[in-house]
Amino acid sequence: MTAVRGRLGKAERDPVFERYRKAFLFAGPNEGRTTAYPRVAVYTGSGASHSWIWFADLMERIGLYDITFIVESDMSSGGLDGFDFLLVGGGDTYAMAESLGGDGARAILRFVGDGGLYLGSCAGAYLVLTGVDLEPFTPFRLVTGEMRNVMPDPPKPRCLDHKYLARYGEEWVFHPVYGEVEVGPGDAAAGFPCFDAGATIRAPLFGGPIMEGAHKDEVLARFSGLSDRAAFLWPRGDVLRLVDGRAAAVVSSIGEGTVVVSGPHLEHPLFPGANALAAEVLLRHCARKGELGGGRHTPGRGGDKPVGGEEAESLAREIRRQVSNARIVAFGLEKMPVTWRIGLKVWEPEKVRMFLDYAWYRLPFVAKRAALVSPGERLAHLAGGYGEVTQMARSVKARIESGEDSQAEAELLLGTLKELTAAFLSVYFKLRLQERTGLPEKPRTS
Amino acid sequence: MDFMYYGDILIVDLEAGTTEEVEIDEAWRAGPVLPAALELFRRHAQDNPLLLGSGILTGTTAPASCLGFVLGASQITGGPAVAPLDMFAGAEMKLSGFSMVLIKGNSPDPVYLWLHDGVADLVDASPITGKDTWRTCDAIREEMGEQLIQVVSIGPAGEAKSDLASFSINYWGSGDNAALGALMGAKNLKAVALRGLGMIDAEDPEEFYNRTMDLLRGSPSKKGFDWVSRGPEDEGIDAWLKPLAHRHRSCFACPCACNTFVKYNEDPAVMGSDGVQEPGLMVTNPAAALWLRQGGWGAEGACRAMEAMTRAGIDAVRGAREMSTGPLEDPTEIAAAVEALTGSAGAAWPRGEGAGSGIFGPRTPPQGSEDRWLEVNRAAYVLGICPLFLVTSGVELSELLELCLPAAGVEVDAGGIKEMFDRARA
Amino acid sequence: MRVKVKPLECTGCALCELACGYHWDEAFSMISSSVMLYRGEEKKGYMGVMVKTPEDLFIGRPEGATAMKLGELQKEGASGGASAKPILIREACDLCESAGLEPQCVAICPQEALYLE
Repeated sequence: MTAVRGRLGKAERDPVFERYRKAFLFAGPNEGRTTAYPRVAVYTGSGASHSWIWFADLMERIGLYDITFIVESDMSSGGLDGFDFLLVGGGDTYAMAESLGGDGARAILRFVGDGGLYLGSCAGAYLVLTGVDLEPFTPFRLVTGEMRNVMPDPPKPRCLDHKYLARYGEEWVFHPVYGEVEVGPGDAAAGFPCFDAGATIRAPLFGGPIMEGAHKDEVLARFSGLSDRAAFLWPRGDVLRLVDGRAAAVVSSIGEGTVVVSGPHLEHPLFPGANALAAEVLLRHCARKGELGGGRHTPGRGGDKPVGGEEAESLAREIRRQVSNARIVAFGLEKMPVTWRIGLKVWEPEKVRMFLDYAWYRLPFVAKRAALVSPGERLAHLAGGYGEVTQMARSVKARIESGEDSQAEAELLLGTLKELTAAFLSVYFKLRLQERTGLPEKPRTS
Repeated sequence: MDFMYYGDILIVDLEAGTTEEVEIDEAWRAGPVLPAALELFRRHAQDNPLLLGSGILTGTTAPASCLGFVLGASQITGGPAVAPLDMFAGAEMKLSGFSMVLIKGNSPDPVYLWLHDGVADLVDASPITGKDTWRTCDAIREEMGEQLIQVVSIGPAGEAKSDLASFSINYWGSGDNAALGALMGAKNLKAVALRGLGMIDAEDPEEFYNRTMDLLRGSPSKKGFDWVSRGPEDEGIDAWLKPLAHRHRSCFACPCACNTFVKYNEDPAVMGSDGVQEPGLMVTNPAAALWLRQGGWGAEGACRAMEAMTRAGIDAVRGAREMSTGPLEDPTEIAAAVEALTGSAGAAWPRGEGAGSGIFGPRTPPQGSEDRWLEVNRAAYVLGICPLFLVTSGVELSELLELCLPAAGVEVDAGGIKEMFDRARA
Repeated sequence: MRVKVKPLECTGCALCELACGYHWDEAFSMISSSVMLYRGEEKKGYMGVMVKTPEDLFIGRPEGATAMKLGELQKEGASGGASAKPILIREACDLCESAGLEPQCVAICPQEALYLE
């Protein structure tokens, strides 16, 4: 568990995760399994927004610590070899598809064909739907499904104009509801504990696809209702007529591999029920393959030198100092009436603190084990990086306060934060992995 | 202490430029409250310590839970003295990530202490040395990039170690009647800046929260100064300020808004923020206004004088009594009169006007008998509840004391508080 | 039904933020509240209260109170960005229905500066 508090901490401690932690974290030969520990790749490259962090969070909740954060160049250079799961979250689907290109698409196809699991939510779902059939998406078609939320001339929205539409050829992808929705089981979710006794689950829909056209057996979850905890860009009745019974999540088997796409963010940290649906899919993928995880290799050990204890402690303190400084500035940024557009995506200032929070709540764990971080330069890189982030955040805030344009500085800040958060979480998960007990390390085979 | 406080006690050695964290002595079951600070004060007496901390309930939904404390040796009395850390500074102290701070020794160079989320930084203060408290607050907030940072700072009077020196809280006058601002000056400590984004836990949060809601429902919601006046001679201060009054402001979590923001550089009716940058002053202590009014000052001149004193880091209550001139109106003349006070060695500790207990200043206007006021102050600082609220709200002290159990898992009663102070003295 | 603000009645005690923070986090903090006290221009004596809902932000400025649609109040403009997500850090006001309580910010405000309409 992390040091995260409040409602996020409460969600993290939800008993629903025990089943998956037990299966993933503590499983091993000592419990009679022939297991290897699944390796997870999380896409953080071009087009990815902040929601990839939620995937990292979810993996931690279910005891999967062997996580690597990858960008587009990693994919096309064979970087998916040896991974068991590839997780692609929300963001700017166009930017994702363009930066991944044909090489990236082929890498994903090969990955799934070799028995990997692709889990895409929101933009990560659009990316691989057969119904999304325009350049630059054409090479990615993996899952049968059409978008229902597309039309040539959508009606004017009631609210959230700035989040309503995205161009799709001659048409528009539109989002009639933003926020919590209710989903129930599809045929592919038979026996899923999260849907026990006809239960439905809540999940947040932030612009993801509303789907149809998938084979009945492949529908994992269907929209079954709405919630007051959402913004209705269309009249509520119209939204219900559009979404009710449509596919919210679809799962498809391709050879040994599995592709799962979801309109709602099943990985969102405030929705343990939705998290459990995603976790169950991962578990069943492993079960289908006859072992817990492909375990095609584990990360290397040794060869990298940690820095000395005193220096490591000092660097950990400096990271804490700078993350705190930056977080305090970011808190002040939250109330500022400004957004920044990066590519097609609008970024609100609140997201600066969100990146920082994910590091902040994990810092105590890292600080206690700073002397184990290898190579030790990673700590220095993080300390220096967060120092820069503090200065950038202060500069952005000063510019906004003085009425100056902050776009360029904000773009740099958010880009740096994204990279730095991935670097921090890499260190964090490596330490978590080192502490994991009960599973043998398998030699690297790729 | 698992509840109501988080973080260890921070020891700052200004001479060495180092910090260390120590755990609270478990014998202090009520946590790092003022009596525990008094014991630490005595233990570190040779280092002339300055301590900052908060009460058990500070920073919660308990009514008027705004109170923290600053404790140090007063150069006026020669003994320990306590000043309130109120407005939002007490709550921010609680959230700073340190349950208490002890600052010992003197710094060879001017510094300020930046406490944020359990991190303590000694920052070079040479760029702000000589600046008044307003510019100091501006500079620190600008440097750190956040306007909600609470800044306990001294102005030129504190740097000059004047007996009239008082620390300010942000831009406004504090209840430091004991020249703790001069102690900060002696330490070469220009300011303590506070900010934290943490959370305060209660042992039984639901019970605690529900009880505080009940207390708040039964609390008065008053505005202005008149309701805290101690007698007929104090009345009418609100009417006197009314032509300048812009808004009334509460300290943290207080249902009674006894601070009055007055505007004299702009029409008080202007509600937007596009006007002048420094339109006036928040009058935080009516006693200074009372003294000036009794001296024949008009409201505007008096408010300008209070602003000048607050900027200089002079205790406006004692400064008002020390003004050698008659009523003034011209801002330049007022500034000159206040400047003349800066190095003043006058204004002895005004005993006999409140709690002449030896540690509590006569946070004015004092209420009730001296013994009663002493008892109220003791309870107020342990609880972290404004003493004025305690004596004027009608909320029973026992009801607030009973909050300590669901809050922190400790039972505290009036006798226990007396014992804590007796033990601290022993 | 929504929470509205009479900004001139507000005295800036922050109890509304604190109660809202408690509602979300079961601890005392103001970092997650749907109700936000704006007190960033202290030297001007300027303050206001904002309430975040799923669809808009009720802004109680001393010079006037109004609800503004999310996106409208931002300088960026109103097109594109369809995949932008609402903030995680601050929840939209749910009128405390998830706790089965009356809106706690309204209940706790000593000055009756917040009200339901």
